Amino acid sequence: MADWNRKPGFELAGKRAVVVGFATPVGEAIALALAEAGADVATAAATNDAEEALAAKRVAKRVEELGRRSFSQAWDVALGTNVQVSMRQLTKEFGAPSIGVFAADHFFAKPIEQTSDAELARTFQLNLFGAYHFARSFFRELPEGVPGRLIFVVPLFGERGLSHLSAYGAAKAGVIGLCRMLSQEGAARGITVNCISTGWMSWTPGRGPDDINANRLLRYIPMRRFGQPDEVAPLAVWLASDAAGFVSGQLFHVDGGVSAHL
Amino acid sequence: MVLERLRLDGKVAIVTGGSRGLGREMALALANAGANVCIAARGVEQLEATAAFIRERTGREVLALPTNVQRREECDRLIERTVERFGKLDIMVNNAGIGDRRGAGVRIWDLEDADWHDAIEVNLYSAFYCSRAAIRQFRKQGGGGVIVNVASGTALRSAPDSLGYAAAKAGVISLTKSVAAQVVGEGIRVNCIVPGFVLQAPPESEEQQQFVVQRGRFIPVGRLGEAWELGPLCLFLCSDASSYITAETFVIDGGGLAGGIAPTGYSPLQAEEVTRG
Repeated sequence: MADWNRKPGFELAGKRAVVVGFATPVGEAIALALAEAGADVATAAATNDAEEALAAKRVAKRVEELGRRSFSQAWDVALGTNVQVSMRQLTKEFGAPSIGVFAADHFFAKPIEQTSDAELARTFQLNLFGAYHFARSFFRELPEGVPGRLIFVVPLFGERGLSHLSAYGAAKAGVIGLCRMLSQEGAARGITVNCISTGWMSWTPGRGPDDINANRLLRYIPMRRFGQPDEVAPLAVWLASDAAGFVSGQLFHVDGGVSAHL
Repeated sequence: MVLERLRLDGKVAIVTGGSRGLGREMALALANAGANVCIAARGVEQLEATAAFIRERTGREVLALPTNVQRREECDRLIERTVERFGKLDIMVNNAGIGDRRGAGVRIWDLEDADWHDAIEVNLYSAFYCSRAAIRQFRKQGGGGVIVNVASGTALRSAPDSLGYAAAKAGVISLTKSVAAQVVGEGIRVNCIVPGFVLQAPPESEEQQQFVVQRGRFIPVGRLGEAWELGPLCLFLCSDASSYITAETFVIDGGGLAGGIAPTGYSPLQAEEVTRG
């Protein structure tokens, strides 16, 4: 009897990945998990903010300590040309990545009446246009015939409402829409596109104290704790693997059950 | 290292509908990660053959228990006998289910009570009975434990040719969320896999192969899913690698549900071509 040609779900040996965005700890956790699974992993800060660029460099070094190749850059994801030039350089010097993770995040909270045009523009540029610029360059640089894996990390605010996150949440909702569109457009080329939707994480701004007695938000989360970066990373590895070729256009929640709250 | 969380050494798992198709692949993936596994299904012969296959491939202990998951007593006994053999239970995969056996394609005005009951019992009652029995056992052990339910993409859209099956699977998704909320305080996680059109076995004849290729054209990624693709996902959900994930549905459907508002591959840029075709 014929048997399946099974492929591993958590091994990425021989693959190249790029992770964009190190302003929160989730980019680092994903980059290191991809490397642990055997991939060479390039890192890119999403802005030229010195601290983020340093974080991207530090992660690249840790990737190399795991015995993989790495390459570190500081992008400005707000600018399409910058992303394209950077991706081209990455392709030349590191090789075209077949796994792309967009973990850039620029939090912004303000009542809508007080939100300025400049603030709105910046929030959309870094969160939504950045995702678009990255996806476009990823599609352009991926060689024909190579299966691609594009993964966006977005917070729950992209699909569920919360006060004072109108600009930020709308931008993140745009990323989810982008994911659904590209899942269809990329399918013929063998590119899968998915979102990881994170709940209240240990780095989410405005989450309040870790003491459950002092924080009613924490008591609202079914698991009664915030999520950790390492609780996101293995999901990204699975989505990046050869075993996830039938998964596309989906949003996967890592949220301690909060999105199922009545 | 974070991927070590995917190991299941010392864990005990039950997979219903474990003798073939998705269940067989999920049981194999769990055993591969170190778990001892009990597989349950109705047909004894196929069950024994699969148990031998998994034993041989993984070196784990595999128990094969003939079970009809439509019956509460048999579900209770399944959990009991697994615990008798392995001393505990850590993972319950509720995968057993069948498309409308008797009511397939029947319109609602002609559908018999018995056909409707059959579809709901085999697909929804089974998940309830096994979840309840497993959770009773988890609580006896002092908490912890994982449940993975298997539903179907038909639960989320219209399924005119298998409405009983689709309604039952929608029930499974709902059950996943409510049960997850009830047991989260005891460290038990409950999640659901929602497969699209997934092949149960590799095509064996030229005819089958043609069918597979032809049906694959209706799916954005251009092919049907293959049962083995459910293995790694099941392992992920059963392991500590998914420790912050509960009450969630994992759709694996080749991009179908993300689109599904126009013929596969349709683009407004080619509207004239496509509408002519």
